[in-house]
Amino acid sequence: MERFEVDHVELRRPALALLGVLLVSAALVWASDVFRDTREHHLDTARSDLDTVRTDYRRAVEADNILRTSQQRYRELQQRGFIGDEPRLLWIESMRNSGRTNRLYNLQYSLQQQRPLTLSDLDYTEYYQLYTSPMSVQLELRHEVDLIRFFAELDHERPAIYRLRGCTLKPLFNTEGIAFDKANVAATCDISWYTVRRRSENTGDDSL
Amino acid sequence: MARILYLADKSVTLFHAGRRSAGAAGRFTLDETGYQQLRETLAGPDAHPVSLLVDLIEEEFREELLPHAYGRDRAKILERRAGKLFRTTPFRYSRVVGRLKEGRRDSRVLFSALTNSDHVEPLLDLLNDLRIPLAGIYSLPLITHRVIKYLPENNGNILVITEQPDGGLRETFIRDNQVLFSRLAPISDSSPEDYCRIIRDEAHKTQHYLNTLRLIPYGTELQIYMLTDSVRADAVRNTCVDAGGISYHPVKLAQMAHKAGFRDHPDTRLSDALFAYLWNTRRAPNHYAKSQHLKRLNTWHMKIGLRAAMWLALVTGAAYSGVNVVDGLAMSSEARNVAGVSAQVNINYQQAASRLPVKAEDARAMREAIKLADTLEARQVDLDSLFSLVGNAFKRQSNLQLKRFDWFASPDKEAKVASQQTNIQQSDLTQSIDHYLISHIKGRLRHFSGSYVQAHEQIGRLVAWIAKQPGVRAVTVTRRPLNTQEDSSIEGEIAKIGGDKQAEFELRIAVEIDHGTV
Repeated sequence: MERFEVDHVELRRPALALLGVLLVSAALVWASDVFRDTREHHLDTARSDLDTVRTDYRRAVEADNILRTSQQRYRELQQRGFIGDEPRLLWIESMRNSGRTNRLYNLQYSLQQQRPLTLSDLDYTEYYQLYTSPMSVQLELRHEVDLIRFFAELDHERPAIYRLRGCTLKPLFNTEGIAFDKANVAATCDISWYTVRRRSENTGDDSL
Repeated sequence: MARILYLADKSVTLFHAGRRSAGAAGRFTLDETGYQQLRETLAGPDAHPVSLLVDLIEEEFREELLPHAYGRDRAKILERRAGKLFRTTPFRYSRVVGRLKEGRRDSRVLFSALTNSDHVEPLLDLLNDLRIPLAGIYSLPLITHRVIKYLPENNGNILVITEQPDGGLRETFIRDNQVLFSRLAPISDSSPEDYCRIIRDEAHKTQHYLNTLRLIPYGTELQIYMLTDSVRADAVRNTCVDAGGISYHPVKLAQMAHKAGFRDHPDTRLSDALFAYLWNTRRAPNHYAKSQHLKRLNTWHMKIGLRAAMWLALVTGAAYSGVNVVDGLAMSSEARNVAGVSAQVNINYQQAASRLPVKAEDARAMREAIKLADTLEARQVDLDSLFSLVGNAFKRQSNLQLKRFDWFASPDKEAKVASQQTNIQQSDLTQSIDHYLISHIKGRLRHFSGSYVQAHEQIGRLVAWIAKQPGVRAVTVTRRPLNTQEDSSIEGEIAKIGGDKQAEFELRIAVEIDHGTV
């Protein structure tokens, strides 16, 4: 087996030339990469700026639409006390008015403390936190129809937003039958009152 | 064009061999004058390797039997044996040409060597002085088998006879396409009239020699092919008669060269140009050059490789950088366009924002509050409908009396209690929108005769009517006057039959909200 011999002295010059070219090529590649990356970064920044300003513009147009279509409804909700602090006084006054209008024999209520609430049917709410205050109401009625009238009157008063969650109706009369001059039905109902308040991290005023 | 130095006994010829021909660029005597002329001819910018094709009388061939081996072992055995056979020269070569079929099945090895290096070394020194790489030292006899495929018959024991420069008659014995022996006989003249006689004499000598070396058994026919010009080929055909186990086949050199692809080969008796051409058609492995002789060739190849790598790196780097620069410039241009569009959109935005009485964020907040309110106000309980359903049901069964009526709203049709009550202890509640009203009704029979069958029938009619009403999704009797379920036990007293005054029952009704019923 013959050995493989080369003249290293003669190879020195082409090897150095190759090394030099490799260095030059590497420098060229590096410099061009830097150049390209810089330009790409500028382009990305410009695109990002365009996206941002487009989003802002789209939101401004959207906000204009919202104001045109929803401003009245929002003001109505504000007046009803749905937005902002709980108008507990208004609630109670509305209930008193409804009870008096329907000539209830007795009306007792128990309003519990306010709690934050999340509606599982809705996506994440960004600006407002929903709150609920459960209320239990005991009523003595001449007839169960009075209960319907009571809540219909309460709806008419529009004291914020509430949901009737449940009731228990029991007759108060015994075997001799109903009496026209006293309560015949006792009802206990659960109501949830709802309000929303702007989240603290979102600046802004509830009043428009 | 390959450069080949054809070395004969008294001269060296420089051939330039191409794909279709080979031509002599000069013939130089092997003396100081010839070397000087050769030096002047080779000197120049062309540093391509030169091959040395040797056709010398001092080249010996020996066939030996050696134990069969593989790889490095075989290489060592061959090297050691060649060294013993040809001690005085470094120009040795060996090749396995076959294997015995019997006994130890030894390998048949052909050894050859240039026994006198006096002709070769001055040329090697000359090439070294001129810094011209030596591609290899090749034996002309060892490439003679390349003519076989152009002969009319190429089987059996073949002796190819060619005439070389400097008055040499090369006789090469070939069998099974393997060169087994060769000798160069000096001849003074080869006039057409004497050619047959010379050939016949030399053929007999070679036949005897081959018999002695046991390369062919006695009595075996030897086919002799003479490659020569037309005149001599005709003379042989007319005068040489097959005899003594020898048959003569004259071949016109020019015709055979044409068959081999050599264009315009002259009608000559000398075959040096043909061999230079045949050598170039397919490169043979180096025969005699040692590693020190090939050092400049290796260096030359390495230089080419380094230069190729250099150009590749340069071109690759330049191309890659160029693409990057073009990309970068295109991106710059696009970035300017995008910035222009951005500026225009920003103007539009500023105008739209200036028209807004509030911030855009506040408007979205407003929409969110409205959505919350709409969700809560949807699907409200319709008490009127619920009471109508229950009231009408009991009105139709006048003997049934309502004692207690509980109901609650729930997102779950199967709920047992109101959902808010389950989460009341949690600080942050999660609530689903109610889809069902679940009612629990306690009732009794106003007049109970004591017949549970009649009582159950009346309750069944009540349940059947309720179940048919729109929006009612489920009605179940949770308690009957007499529990006749198979999974419960019943106790009673016959003597008291007719004595029970009370027959109570309980119902559970699930009604879908917003269906039109409630």
